[in-house]
Amino acid sequence: MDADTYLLFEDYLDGRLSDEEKRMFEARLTSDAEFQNSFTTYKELNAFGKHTIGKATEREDFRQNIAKVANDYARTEPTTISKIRQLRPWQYAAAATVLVLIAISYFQFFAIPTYDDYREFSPISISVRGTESTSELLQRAQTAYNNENFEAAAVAFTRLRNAGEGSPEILLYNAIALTESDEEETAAELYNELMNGDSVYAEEAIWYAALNRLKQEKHSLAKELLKNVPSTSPYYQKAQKLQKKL
Amino acid sequence: MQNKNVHSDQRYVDGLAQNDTAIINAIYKNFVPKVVGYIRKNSGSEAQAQDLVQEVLMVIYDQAHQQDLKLTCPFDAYFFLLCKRKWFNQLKKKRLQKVTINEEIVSEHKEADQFAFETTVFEEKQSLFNDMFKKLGKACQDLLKVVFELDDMQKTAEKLDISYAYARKKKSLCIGQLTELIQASPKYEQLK
Repeated sequence: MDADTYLLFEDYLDGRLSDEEKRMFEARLTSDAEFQNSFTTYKELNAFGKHTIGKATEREDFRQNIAKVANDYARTEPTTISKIRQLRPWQYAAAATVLVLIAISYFQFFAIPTYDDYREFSPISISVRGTESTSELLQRAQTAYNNENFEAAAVAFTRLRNAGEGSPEILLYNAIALTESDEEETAAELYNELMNGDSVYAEEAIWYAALNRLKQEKHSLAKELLKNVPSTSPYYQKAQKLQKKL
Repeated sequence: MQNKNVHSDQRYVDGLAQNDTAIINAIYKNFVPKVVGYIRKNSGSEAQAQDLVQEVLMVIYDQAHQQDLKLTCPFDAYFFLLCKRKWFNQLKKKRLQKVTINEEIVSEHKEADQFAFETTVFEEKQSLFNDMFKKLGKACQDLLKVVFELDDMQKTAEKLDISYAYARKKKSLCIGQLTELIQASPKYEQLK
C-alpha cells in the first residue's frame, strides 16, 4: 500500500471521511482482498499500540493484581495439591498404626468384655506360722502361683487349707488359682466364704468373684457382684466400668 | 459469533478487563484449581501451572481491551481449553512430549473451541506485533510511543514540535511500515 492509502486508513478510523468517501472505502474492503488485509492489520496495530503502549501502566497494575491473587490463593489453598499429595511409605505405616489403634480402642470400648481383659497377677508372698510340712506346701503353692502354674497352685493351696491353714489370704489365692484352672464353681464357693466374712480380703473377693463369673460368661451374676464393690475399694472404678460394659 | 446471545459468564471477561479483584478471586476459586490439577497430571508443576494461568488471564485482558470479545459460551470451558492448548503447545516446544492438537483438547462446547481458537490466534498476533515493532526504525518507534502514550494527535504534534497534519501523516506511515513488516513475516500467513 502507498502512503496515501495508509493516511486513508487513518482518516477512516478517525471518522474524518465524508459519507460518500466512507461508502467507497467500505465497498473497496469487500472487493479488494489486499486492501482489506492491509486495513485489518493496520487497525489491529492501532488497537495494539493504544493498549500495550498507551495503557502500559494499567496493564502492569493488572499483572501485579493477578500475581497477588495467585499468591493469596496459594497461601490459603495450599492445596488442592497438597490435599492430593502422595503419602510416603512411613506415612502409610503411621496412618495404618493409627487406624489399628482406633480399631483397638473401638473394639475395647464396644466389645463384650472378657475375663482375659481383666486378669492380672502379681507375685505373692505369704508367711504362716505353721509346721514344716505346711511351710513346704505354702512355698510350693506360692512358687506355682507366681509361675502362673495355677493347677498346681490350686492343689497346694487346697491341701494347705485341708491341713488347717485356712487364712483369708490363702483362701483368696486358692480361689483365684481355681478360677484360672477352670474350676469356677469351686472358686465361687471360696469367694462366697470370703465375702461373707469380715476379713480385709472381703472386698477384693467381690471383685475376683465377679471376674470368676465373667470367665463363665455369666454376665448378670458378674454384674450383681460388681454392684457390691464399695466405693472405698481400690477396685471400685474398674468395677463401675466393667459393670457399664456388661 | 458476535450475533448470538452473550453468555452470563461474560462478567468474567468484563471483570478481567476492569481489573476487578473480586472477579479475579472468583476465577481463582472456581476455575483455576481444575487447570492446575490438569497440568500437574500432564508433566507440569504447580509453579508452571500458576505461570501459565497468569499468562492466559493476561491474554484475555488484552483481547477484551483490543477486540470486542463477547462470550456466548461458559467461561469455564473457554478458559480451561485455552490453558490446555497453551500447556500442550509449551510441551511441544520443549519436546518433552510428542503432542498434537487432538480430540482431547477439544471442548464439549463447540463455541468454546471457537473462542479459544480466536484467543490463541490473537495471542500469536500480539507476539508477532511485538517482535516486528522492535524491527521498526528508531524514529518510527519513538513517534509511535509518543502517539500512543498521549493518545491525542494535537498534543503529539506539540510535543514533537511538528504540525498536526504531519504528525498524522507520520503516524500513518509508521503503522504502514509496521503493517508491511508483519505481512512480510512467514508467521503472518498462518495467522491471517
